[in-house]
Amino acid sequence: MIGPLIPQGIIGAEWSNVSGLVLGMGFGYVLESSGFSSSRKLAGVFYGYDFVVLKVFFTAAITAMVGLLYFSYLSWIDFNMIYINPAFLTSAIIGGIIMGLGFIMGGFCPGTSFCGAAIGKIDAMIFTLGMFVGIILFSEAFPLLEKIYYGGPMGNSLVNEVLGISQGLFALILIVVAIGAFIVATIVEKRVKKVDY
Amino acid sequence: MNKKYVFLAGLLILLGIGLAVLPSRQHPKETDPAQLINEIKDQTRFLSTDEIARKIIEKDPSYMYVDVREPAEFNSFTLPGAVNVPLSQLLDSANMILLNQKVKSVVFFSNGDITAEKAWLLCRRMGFNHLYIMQGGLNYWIETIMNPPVPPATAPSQDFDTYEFRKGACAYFGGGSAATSVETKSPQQKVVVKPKKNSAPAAGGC
Amino acid sequence: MNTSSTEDRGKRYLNPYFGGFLLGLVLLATMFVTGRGLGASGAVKSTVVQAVNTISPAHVEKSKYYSQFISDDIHPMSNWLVFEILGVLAGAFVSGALAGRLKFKVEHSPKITSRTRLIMASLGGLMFGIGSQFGRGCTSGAALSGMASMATSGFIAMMAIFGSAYMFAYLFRKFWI
Repeated sequence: MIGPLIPQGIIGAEWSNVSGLVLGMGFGYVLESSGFSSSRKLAGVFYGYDFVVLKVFFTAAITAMVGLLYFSYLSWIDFNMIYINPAFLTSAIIGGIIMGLGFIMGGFCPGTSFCGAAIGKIDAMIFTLGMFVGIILFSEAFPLLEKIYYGGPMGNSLVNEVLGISQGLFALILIVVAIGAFIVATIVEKRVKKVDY
Repeated sequence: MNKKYVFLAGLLILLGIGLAVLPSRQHPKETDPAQLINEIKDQTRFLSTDEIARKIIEKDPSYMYVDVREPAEFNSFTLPGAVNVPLSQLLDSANMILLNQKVKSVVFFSNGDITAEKAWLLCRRMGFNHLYIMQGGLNYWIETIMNPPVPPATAPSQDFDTYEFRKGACAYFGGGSAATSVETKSPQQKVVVKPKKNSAPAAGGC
Repeated sequence: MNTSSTEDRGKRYLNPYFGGFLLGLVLLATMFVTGRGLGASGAVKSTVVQAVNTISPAHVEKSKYYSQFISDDIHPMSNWLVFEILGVLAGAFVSGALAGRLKFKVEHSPKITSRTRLIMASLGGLMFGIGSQFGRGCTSGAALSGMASMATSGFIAMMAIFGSAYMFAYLFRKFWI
């Protein structure tokens, strides 16, 4: 079992920050190269004129998931040590709704706003500032929001367990769904009025 | 362009089928033995009988008390609200679900603490969290809570506070005659309550 | 407005499937090295907590929310995320520079003004700031990395974010198309 490297001490924790920097650069480079630094390109998925978000997102999730599962099978990584974000049903849904609103209003999400800011997009920079303020507001209002924040605890739930199927089968289903989504996206893009940006 | 995509999609589906069909590597979650030894050494798993008495009296909902002795002993005397998971049945699936707590903390106890330790070690090895042991077990519980020893007159005030608490706990848990006989001796010693030492340093300047 | 030649040059983007594949590799590498996925909102939160802590540590202690993230053993991930974001800025900058996309501008639909766009951007950021705390992550951290690790929270976040955005899309169409 080789990975994950840092939690198992194969790479010292001193390298942790360097790894963050390098991996972040990869992240930023790929996002920007795919066009995620443009708010109008990002918003395209919701109006049908540019499905780049769907294509990149789904492909990335599947690539990483398939990679993770094959690594696990080959004992290159210990899947049990991968951090699973704890699921709080109520909180996640409410958060998702608010974020969705933020996405359609601002045309960015946190990661892409950094990309946009890095190439000079002023709207991206303002978006990032808005985020700071939002977090502060949330923290100050926390006592009121606490109940929702801890609502619907499901622990470190894995989706394939919730559905009662194996991880491999879930991956296959997701792949099929994704390919279906790509086909639909291609058809829609051809039919929607071109937007010049 | 289209042919390329069809090829890639086909490749992806093949990979997916591969994953669905391959036998899943069973990686049972186990705590690393080196870490276990550290935890054994650092003793943080122990809760004192006083702490547990307090939690039971305050009806602290985040704790669960597990009696690991055999049912016969459990039925004759145990902690209020405790559940019985005999060590011999520890690995039953129902018990495994009960003990693999993500919400409550589990406190193992037995007559001494040897059997409780065994249960703790087994569960900890399987990667369960929030596991504790009542230090000294029921024997110590009876010694301290059910028959609290009277501190000598020279003892620090803290010991008297503990004793007072234990007397109250004993009454709460239905201590019976054993406790009351001890109680009669105490009123004379009770007078020796020294002023709390804490207040002086805290006064401080501006 | 931009001249058409700059627009053409600026539109040299990667094939989205290829970009997604590369992104997936980066994500996989991140999980292989750190055992956690990528993140973005987490870095902003860490920065906020550190900033508030510098200004008023007492406030941080009293606050039920901030205090969760500041302790003697601060989780190493909070630092990691900040370095990651620095990397993101650098990487995006390089990519933009190579493709000739470096330019200060407010990108907006011709049907609205720059000012409107900036107001909407700030409100959007505000929403994301609040929403990402409820969701314990954003699209990168909770949704993308969550989905790759098959976390239920990831899929819930994904569906909630995109579902909600699609719902509100009709309301805000004037701002985009």
